[in-house]
Amino acid sequence: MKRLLWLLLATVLVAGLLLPGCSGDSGKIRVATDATWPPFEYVDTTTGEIVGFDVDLFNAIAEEAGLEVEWINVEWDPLLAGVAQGTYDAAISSITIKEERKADMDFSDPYYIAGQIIVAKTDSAITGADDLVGKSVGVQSGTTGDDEVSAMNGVNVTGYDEIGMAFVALMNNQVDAVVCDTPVASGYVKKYDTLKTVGEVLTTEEYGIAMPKGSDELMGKINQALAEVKSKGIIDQLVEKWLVD
Amino acid sequence: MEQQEKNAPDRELSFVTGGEVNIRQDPWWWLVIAVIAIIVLLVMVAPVPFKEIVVFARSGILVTVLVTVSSYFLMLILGLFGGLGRLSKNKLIFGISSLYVEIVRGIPLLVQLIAWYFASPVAIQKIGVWLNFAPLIEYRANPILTAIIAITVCYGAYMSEIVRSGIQSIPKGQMEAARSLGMSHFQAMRYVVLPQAFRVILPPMGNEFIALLKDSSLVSVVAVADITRKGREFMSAHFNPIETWLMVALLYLVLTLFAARIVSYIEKRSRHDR
Repeated sequence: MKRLLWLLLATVLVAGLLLPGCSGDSGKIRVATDATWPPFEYVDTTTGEIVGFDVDLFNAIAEEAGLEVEWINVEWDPLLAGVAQGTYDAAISSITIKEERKADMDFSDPYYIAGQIIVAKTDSAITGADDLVGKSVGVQSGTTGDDEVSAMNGVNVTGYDEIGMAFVALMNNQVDAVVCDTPVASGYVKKYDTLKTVGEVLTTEEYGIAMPKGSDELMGKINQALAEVKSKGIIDQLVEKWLVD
Repeated sequence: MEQQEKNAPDRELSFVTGGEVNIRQDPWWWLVIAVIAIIVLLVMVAPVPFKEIVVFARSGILVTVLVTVSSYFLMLILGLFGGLGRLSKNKLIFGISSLYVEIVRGIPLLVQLIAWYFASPVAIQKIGVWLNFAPLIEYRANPILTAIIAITVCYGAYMSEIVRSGIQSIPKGQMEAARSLGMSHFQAMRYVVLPQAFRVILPPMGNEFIALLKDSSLVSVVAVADITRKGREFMSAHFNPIETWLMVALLYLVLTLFAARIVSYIEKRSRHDR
């Protein structure tokens, strides 16, 4: 019994020591994404692979630039913190290029233009941004939707870790509307008859690839490869594949 | 043959005192079975999405178990030393272990996890630059290892207090008697006091295991793909939060209820030794 316990302990310790050996390969670049944002990045639940528009795009860029990619799937807030701090070499995760974010990280040229939209229940009286006054609105904390709603006067913002939780809150009438990126909104609206998108797109915003401050060499490679990918029409193909149905 | 004869009275004894696992003797096993039955039923009645969730979360279950079991055993060791340190007459050892317990148990595990994963690499890289030592400059935190370290350090502090209270619950006479028989302080602790204290702290130890298992869901914030993170990924891919979290809750419930039964079994086994 005692020997068994020691054996167990030894296994655990050895496992602990071997684990770090798996990471830190210098030839690869570490690319972070929060794969909970379909159709841009999400996990294909039958294969367990990270898939989506951003993933295909970055793989195309990496091929063009001759880079090897190690994908890291991490939550949204730690993702932004990790890029700012250099834990990851790059991040592609539907990240909107924003002035405030530029203080902590560098962005590539934009690769996609998206917008924020309001989602409400089908029987809701909300018809546009003006109707949100006095209502409570669910968002994913730290996203551009969060910033947009927080900037409106007289709107109660409820921030969730995950956009899916904001939608559950909406379905349970805990919030009156949700604001998020258009592709994600259309995913939920298609899935649930009780939801609809409301009004026009609130903002237009550009998605970029984020990199830690001062990664000029990688930035040069990626921007060049991105331009190549654009000129080859790959982005249009990806829009066709992931965003049009 | 000889072995068998030697064990025979033991087995009889355990039969008399009800040492073995038996549904009749521990009816709470039915609860474990009931939860498993609910999962099986859901998977059979509605394979989409329940079967998909279970299949998808398999690797997450393994990660949760790995993180929980590793950090549990490591924190037991840390807690043992912490607890002994809290009882030490040496002012330095007492000071260090008390400082550790007081500070660490006052900070939420979530905050500690984030600090270990995001702040410690920066500190280590700074030290690397200072020493001009390349491996340290390029140091990158390994998510699972960082999670195990953070949970071990945090729970080690709670465990230290449990060990301390367990040792203090043993009457002073035990130590004094052992010392007067010629045992050293270490021997008396090792062979007389700790075995008795162990029995006292067994229930809180089991409780810590279950608490740790549940708290392991926090590791999903530092890029560890445990059951919770797998649930988030599944939910976002299929837009079905309610079904996903129902299944995630059931999976955790199976693990915790099963662990609780094991703890109660060990408690029973150790009781009849007395």
